[in-house]
Amino acid sequence: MPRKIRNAVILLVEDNADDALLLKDAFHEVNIINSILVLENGKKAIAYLKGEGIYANRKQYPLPILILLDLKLPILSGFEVLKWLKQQPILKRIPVLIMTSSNIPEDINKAYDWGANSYLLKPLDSDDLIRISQQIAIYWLGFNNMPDVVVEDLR
Amino acid sequence: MDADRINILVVDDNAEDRQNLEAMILSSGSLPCLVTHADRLASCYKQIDKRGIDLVLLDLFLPESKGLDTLRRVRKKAPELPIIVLTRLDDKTTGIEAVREGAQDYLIKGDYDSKLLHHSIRYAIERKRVDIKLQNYAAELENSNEEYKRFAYVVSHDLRAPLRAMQGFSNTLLQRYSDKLDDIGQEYVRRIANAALRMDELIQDLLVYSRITTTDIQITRINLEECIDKALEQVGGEIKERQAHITIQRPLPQAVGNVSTLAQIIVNLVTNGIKFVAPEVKPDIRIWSEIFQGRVRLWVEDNGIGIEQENQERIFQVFERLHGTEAYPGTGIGLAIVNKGVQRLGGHVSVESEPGSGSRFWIELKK
Repeated sequence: MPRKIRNAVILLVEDNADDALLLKDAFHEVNIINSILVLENGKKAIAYLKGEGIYANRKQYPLPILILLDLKLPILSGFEVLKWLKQQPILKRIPVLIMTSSNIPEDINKAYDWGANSYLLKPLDSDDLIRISQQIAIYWLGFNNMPDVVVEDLR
Repeated sequence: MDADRINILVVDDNAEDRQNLEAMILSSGSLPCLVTHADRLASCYKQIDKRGIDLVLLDLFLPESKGLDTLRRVRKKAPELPIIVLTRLDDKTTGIEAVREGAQDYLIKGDYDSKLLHHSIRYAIERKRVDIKLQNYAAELENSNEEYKRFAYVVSHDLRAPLRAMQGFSNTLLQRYSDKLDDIGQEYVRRIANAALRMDELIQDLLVYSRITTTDIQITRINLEECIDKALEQVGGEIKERQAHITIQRPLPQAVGNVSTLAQIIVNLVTNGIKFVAPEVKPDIRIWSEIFQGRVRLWVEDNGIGIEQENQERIFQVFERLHGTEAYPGTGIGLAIVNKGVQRLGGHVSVESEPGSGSRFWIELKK
């Protein structure tokens, strides 16, 4: 049986509030109960993952079990977040699903080169978004075995 | 340029040659010139730095530098100046090579007269002007191409984001709040969602059109079989959905083109054939090829509604539609993509058709 990780956090790095809301709605629709934390730029995402500044409290801001990453972001792009993350000793284990509107081959190849674990296109039809969310629930939050990413003891 | 006199820098280490050349330059009444001298590269650079030089007459053999290397160095120093090189009588090749490397003209020492010299001066100055103009155009073109690519990128990303929101939230309204909307209200929300989908289709098609217009297309000998297979893979869903029947007369020959561009062209022709049929008619598409006047012709025939003679040119233009969106939804870009794609492959496209008896599109490519 797959390991179920019930109440861990999913990080959504997305600058478009509409897209974030639609995805949260879709996750809700398919009964994903994990809390979803939205960060609107790459700089915040890196600060969060580092546990810097206001994100220092890991009880309040735990490391995510899954990152959904948009590529086109203000300040620091999704590519920069990806590149940084996949160079970190333990954090690099966290699966990153790219969630973007770019389907150009250069972006797709670059994302995989830099260690993305999956590459999804933001669908136009919200029914497709529901389907994608379902698959994320079944595969990434279900069958897929998650690595250990705890870098500090929280107990 | 000193008023209307051409300031010519003569670079030659042989004093006698220099003086002969100067005398010849100044001999013309119709081409007023001024001569400045340099006997080696260093003094040549110094004169160029003083500005005001209009043309360099360059002996390629100087104390510090020999042959084409001399030209390269002067060109690097003064990329904007026209240069005429002076070559030796026994040297048959250096002159042409110098022109290939960016000199505007060459003269063979001891083998020109005053008339030829003045002609060459005028010619070199004009030629350089045209070269610079062309260089600027090329740079501008490169620039606008880059801008265009950035524009397409922005269109595909930023312009589509609001559409996702329109479509997504409309659907949420319909699914979650339908009890608060009467039938008319629901119909309106549905129309909003549909409009968003249509707009997205339009953007997608425009992107394909701009990509086919602007990207570099590698043209090689390709196998038409491969293109057809790739195209059918892409339209497979639609063929099934519309219960279309497709016949391909294999084998298909090779032609000069590009696999993805040609696949895109075939996709659009097939989609066009599937779409424009009379109600209740199952689409029937036939694809075959022939050699016509030494070129490869690929035919795509459909059993659709046909096209009136007077509209047969219009259909290949962007946004040209012959039917209302209610009867035949679409963006009016499909055949414009075909037209542009074929153009980029160096081919031709046309159609033979009569209303009510289907259309036969052909594209013609080099063998």
